[in-house]
Amino acid sequence: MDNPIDQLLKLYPNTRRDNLIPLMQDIHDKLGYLSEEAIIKVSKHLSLPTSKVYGVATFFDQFPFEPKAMFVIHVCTGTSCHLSGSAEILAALEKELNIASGQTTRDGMFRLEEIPCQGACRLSPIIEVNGKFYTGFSTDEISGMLESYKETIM
Amino acid sequence: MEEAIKKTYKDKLISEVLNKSGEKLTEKTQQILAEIRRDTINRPVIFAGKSSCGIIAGANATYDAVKEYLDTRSIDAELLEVGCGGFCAAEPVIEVQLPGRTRVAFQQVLADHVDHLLDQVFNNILDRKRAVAQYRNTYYEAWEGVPFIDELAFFAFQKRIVLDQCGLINPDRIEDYLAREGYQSFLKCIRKGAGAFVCGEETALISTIEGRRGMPSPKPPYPSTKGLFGKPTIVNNVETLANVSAIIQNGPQWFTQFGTDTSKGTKLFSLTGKVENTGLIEVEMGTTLQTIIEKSDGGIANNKKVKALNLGGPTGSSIPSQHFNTPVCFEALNKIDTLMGSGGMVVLDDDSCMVDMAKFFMDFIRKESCGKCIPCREGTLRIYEILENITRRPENEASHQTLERFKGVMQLEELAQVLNDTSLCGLGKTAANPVLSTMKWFRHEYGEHIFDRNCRAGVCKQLRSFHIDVDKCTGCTICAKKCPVNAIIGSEKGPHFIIEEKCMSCGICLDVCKFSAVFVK
Repeated sequence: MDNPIDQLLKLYPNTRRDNLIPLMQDIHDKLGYLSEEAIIKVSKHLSLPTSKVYGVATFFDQFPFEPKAMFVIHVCTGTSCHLSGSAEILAALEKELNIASGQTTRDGMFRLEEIPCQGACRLSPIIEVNGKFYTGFSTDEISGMLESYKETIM
Repeated sequence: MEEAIKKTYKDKLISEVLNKSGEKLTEKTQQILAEIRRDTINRPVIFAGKSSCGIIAGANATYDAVKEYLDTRSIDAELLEVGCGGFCAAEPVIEVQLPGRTRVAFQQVLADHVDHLLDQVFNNILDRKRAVAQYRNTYYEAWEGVPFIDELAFFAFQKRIVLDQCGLINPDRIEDYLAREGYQSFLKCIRKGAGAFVCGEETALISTIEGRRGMPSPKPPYPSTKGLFGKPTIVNNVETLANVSAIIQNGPQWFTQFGTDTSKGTKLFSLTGKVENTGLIEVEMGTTLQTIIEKSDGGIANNKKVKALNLGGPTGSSIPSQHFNTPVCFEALNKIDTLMGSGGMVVLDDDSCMVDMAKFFMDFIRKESCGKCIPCREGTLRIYEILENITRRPENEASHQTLERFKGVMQLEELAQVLNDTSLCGLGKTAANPVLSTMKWFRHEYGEHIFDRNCRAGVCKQLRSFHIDVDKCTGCTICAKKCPVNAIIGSEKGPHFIIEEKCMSCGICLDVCKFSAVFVK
């Protein structure tokens, strides 16, 4: 059984540098994050210094470096959602979960992320948890929503 | 005239291109294309809109409900996915075409509404509340009392070239596009971006395709002489490329009849903010901003007064209402120091604070600045800090913080100008626009924040002033204990008071008080 990263590397026999971002995107889609192992393997495959690969990966918001949390909460902080109070929702979630945006709770259950725009401004403010959308969201709904996710794994 | 030019050019093009390639459209092919277009049908067709705004509004559940409806009743009907017509306020949209009748669109159809709605439609009855429009079809009988889609206010004032087929076809199916004569053959290779605002800058975009950090490089050399992999490169956005197909098909004369003398064609705008009908619109160049706001919309949300229009996204500018008669074209917008940019159009009303808007955009830009050149990296952060200082009370009146607020403001305009003049790329050069434009048109709001410590829209929460209702206060002392700056005094079991000079408006006392004794003035 091949390592999933090795399998993906095989799909890129061409080792030119311009394959770097598509390759990292594929690994991200498969594993949900970029592990240290993945970065080292990619740099060997493309004959690039590890520092360069890591440098490109850190430039973009798309690539996290820690395993995915069970529930990823995306708070839309686009202009329209900002106008309808997304900053307050984000602050309240940070307080409730006791983490800052971009962090994962210690038990690995929730991760809080900002996202620039989901593309449904009429329904703002919008938050999304693992693909489920909550529209016209308000801070009052936070504790109930978090509880419902905690219950699902009980 | 328009149709005539279109037709002669198209005929010529078709005969040339198709005859040269040796493939003539046989009758059979034409018939197939007509079938794909659903010009004539022999069983009911249901079109379910599945665009991003639709899915968030619940289109997936609606689609499943329609599928279940058809399956459980064994109805021989076709269920197709289509894109979005741009009328976001109507999502989720379901369109039904019965044999012999025109295609009719229903708005805001949630999963719960599906059974009732389809029961009625299959019995030739329309749910009047949801039936929003019907499409023109020369073969079939129209529904009575339902407006045609081009008669709806939202669509009537638009000129759709790029968005022509939106909502009609499934963007994932090339046959749909072929059948509507949209297909042009180019060699394409698609690279997915990894999400960075600065990669809209052409040299930064090129460097990410090459597998590097998305940082811009100095110009010249311009990409047109030395671009991707060192080869001459033309960088265009998708909107431009989408126009190419229509221009090839209908000819340059046809295209240049739209727009003004110097700005040709149309422009897409994403209309959002405090309006009822948000959505994606395409207007002819030269249309005034006022027309867009009025025509596209059933009215401003909650009947508030429009204060400003933010044009061009985070690095765009805010335009005050006295300039709403400006036409949408490059020169006229330049004259009032703004730009079309990304085509974002956010309507702001009296509930929006202009200083907060500038702060919000600077926060975004400072995060998205690539950090290569110093003016942008340091300047955007510094502007953000100044704006943050303005929008909150100083933590300590006696310290230098009070002075900082004033000093910062005096430097704000100069700093913004330096940023515009000295930054490396388009992002930095336009980064100060939100500040410069709001300072130009809404200077009084800055004054109120700095001197009166008052946000007229009530958005800047850290400027609020808190008070304690002595009748409700029981003297539990919890607020005094939690106050981070010791601004609350009072003895146990006696009423407490907030020393306004010390208060930094954090709102903790409001949160912790169990007797609702703390209130905001």
